[in-house]
Amino acid sequence: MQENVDNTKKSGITRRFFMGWGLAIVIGMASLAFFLLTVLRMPFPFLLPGKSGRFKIGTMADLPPGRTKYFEDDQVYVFSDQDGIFAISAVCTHLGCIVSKDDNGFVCPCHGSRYNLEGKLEKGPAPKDLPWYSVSRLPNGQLIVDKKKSVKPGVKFI
Amino acid sequence: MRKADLEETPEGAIKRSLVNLARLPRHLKSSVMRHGAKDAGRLKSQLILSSIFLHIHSIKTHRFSLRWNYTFGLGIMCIGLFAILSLSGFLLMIYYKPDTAQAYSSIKDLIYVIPSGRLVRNIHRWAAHLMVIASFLHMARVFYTGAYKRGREFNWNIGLALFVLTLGLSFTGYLLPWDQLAYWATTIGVNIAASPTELTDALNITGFFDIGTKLKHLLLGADQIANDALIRFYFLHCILLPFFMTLFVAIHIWRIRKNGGLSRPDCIDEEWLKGTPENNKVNNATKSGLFQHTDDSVKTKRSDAENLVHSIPHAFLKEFVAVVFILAITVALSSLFDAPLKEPANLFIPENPAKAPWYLVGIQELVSYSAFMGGIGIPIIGLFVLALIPYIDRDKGAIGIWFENKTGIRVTKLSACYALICCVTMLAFTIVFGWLRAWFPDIPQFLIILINPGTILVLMFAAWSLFVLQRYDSIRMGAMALFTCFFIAVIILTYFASVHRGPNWDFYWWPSLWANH
Repeated sequence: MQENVDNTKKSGITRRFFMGWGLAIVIGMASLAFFLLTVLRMPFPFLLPGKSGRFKIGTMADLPPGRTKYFEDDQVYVFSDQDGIFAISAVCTHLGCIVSKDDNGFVCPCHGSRYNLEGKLEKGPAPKDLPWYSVSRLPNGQLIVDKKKSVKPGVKFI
Repeated sequence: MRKADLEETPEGAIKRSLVNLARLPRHLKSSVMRHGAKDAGRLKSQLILSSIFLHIHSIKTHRFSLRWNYTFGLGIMCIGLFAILSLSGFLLMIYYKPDTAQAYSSIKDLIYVIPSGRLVRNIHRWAAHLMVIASFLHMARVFYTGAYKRGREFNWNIGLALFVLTLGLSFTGYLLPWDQLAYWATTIGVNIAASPTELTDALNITGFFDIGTKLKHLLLGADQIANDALIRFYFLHCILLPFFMTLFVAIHIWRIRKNGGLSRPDCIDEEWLKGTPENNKVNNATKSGLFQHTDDSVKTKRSDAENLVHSIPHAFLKEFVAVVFILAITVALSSLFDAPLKEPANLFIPENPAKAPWYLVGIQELVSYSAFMGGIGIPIIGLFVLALIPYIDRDKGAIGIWFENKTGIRVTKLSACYALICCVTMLAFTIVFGWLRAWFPDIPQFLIILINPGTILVLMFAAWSLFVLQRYDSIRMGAMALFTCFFIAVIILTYFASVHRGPNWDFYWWPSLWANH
C-alpha cells in the first residue's frame, strides 16, 4: 500500500490521466465554444429587416433647379440647383431625431443641433455633418437615391 | 387537548357542545399552534428554518435593525414594489400584444375596455417610478451608514447590479405602449447605446471595430425601431431582466442574512434602542438562533444576544408595515394620476422636445454635450467608481451610524454645497456662453468628447474628493465627498433637464413658456 502511494506521487500526470481528462476538456471546450458561437450569432440576422435604402425620386423633369423635395418615408431631403441634384439625410447624427428645415438650414428638435443648408454642422452636440447620399439614374430615366451609399458633400448629380 | 379541559367536561352532550363553543377561541388557537405557547420560541425557529420562503430571514433580528430611522424600510419597499410590479405586470401581459400594429390599441383597450385595466396600468407605472426613487435612496442609505464594509463589499455590488436592472426594466418597458413618447425616447436611448461609434469615428477605427452599430443591432434586430425591436424589448422586459432581478434579489437578501443581518455599530447605545421591541427573555431566549436550544454560551456573548428578538413577529411586522405603506402610496398615486399615453408612434415627426423618461433625463442633459461621453462614458465611470468604493475604503471606521460622526456630517454638507455650486455654475455657463463648438466651429469631435461640461464636472468632483481625502486623512471622508457630489449632481441634472429644457433643448424658465410648435 505504501509503495503504491509513492508511485503515484512520483509519476505525477499519467498517460491515462492525461488522455482521459485532456480529451474531456478539449471536447468540453469545443462544445462550449460551438454553443456560444451559435447563441451569440443568433441576434444578428444576415439580412436586417426594413427598407433597402434605395428609393425613387422622380425624373429630371420633376426636379427643376431651385426645387426642394422632402421624402418623408425615407427621411431624405432632395435639392436641385444650377449644379445638379443632391440628397441630404434628415436624420440627426447625434441621436437619430428627424431634423426640420428652415431658411438657414436644418435644426434638430431633440438637442438643438444646427446644420447649414449643405448639411454642415454649425452648432450643438452632433458629432458630424449630415451625410449626402448618392443620386443616380436608372435606364428608364428614373432618378434614385441610395441611402447605403454616401458621397462627399458637394458631389451633385448632373 | 389539555388535561384541564378533559376534567371540566360536563356530562350531557348538549352541555358539552355549548362549553366547547365557549372554548372555541382557545381550542382554535391550540389547534393552530399545536404545541401551545410554551414552545413558541422553538416553533417560530422551526417555522422559519423549514420554509423556503421564510428562511431567507434569520430566526432572530437585532433590535437595532428594527429602528425606522436607520433604514427607513427602503430596501424592503423595493422588494414590495418589485412584487407589485410583477403582479400588475402579469395582469397587463394578458392583454398586451407586442406587435407594432396592435400594441397601441391594446393599451387603449386596457384603458377603456378592460375592467380595472386603467388602474392596473397606472399602478404598474407608478410602482416603477417609485422603485427607481426607492432604490436610489436605499443606495444612499447604505452608503451613508457605511454598510458596505466588512464582508459586505460584494453585496454592495450586487445592489449596484439591481439598480442598473431597475433602470433597464423601466427603460425597456417604455417602448411597449408604442406611442410618440415611447418611440422617440427609445430612439434616443438606443442611439446612446450606439454612440461608441462617435468615439470610434473620432479615432478613425469604425471601419473594423464598429461596436456601436453592433450594440444597436443587438437591441433592435434592425437599423430602426420596428417590430423586431418591440419583440426584443418585450422579451427583455418580461423575461430576461425580471429573471436576473429575482435571482439577484435572492442573492442580495441571502448575503445580508449570512452577514448576520443588517449592519449595526459595534457598541450600541441603549438610547438608540428606545422604542424597539424588547427581548422578554422567555424560553432561555438570550441566545441567538438555534443556539437557544443548546447550552453553548460562547456564541451568545459574541452576537449580542441580549438584544436579539424573534423575527416572528417583530421583523415581519415591520416589513409588512413598510410594504403596506408603499402599496398605499402606489395605489393613491395611481387613483389620482393617470399614466400618460400620447398619440400613436409617428416615425416621421419627433416629439419636440423628445425627452427620455425622467430618471434618464439627467443623462440626456449630459448627452446634449456629447452622446458618447454623456451617455456611456460618464455613467460607466460613475458605476465603476461606485463599485470600487468598498474595495478602496477599507478604513476601520464606525459602521451602522449615519455619516459616521460630526466630521462626516460636515463633509456631507460642504460637498452638497460644492456640488450644487459646481452644477449650477456649469449649467449657467453652458447656457449663456455655449460650448467649444460655438467658439471654434471646426474643432475636432475628439476634443469635444474629452472636454465638455460633463467631464469637467466629473473632474471637479474628483478634485474635491481628493482634497477632502487629504484634508481629513480619511478614505471614508473622501468617498463620502464623492458620493455626495454624485448624489446632488444626479438630482440637479434630473431636475434641470425635466423642468428647464424645452423645444430644441433650449433653456426655458418654466414649461408653460415653451414656444408652440
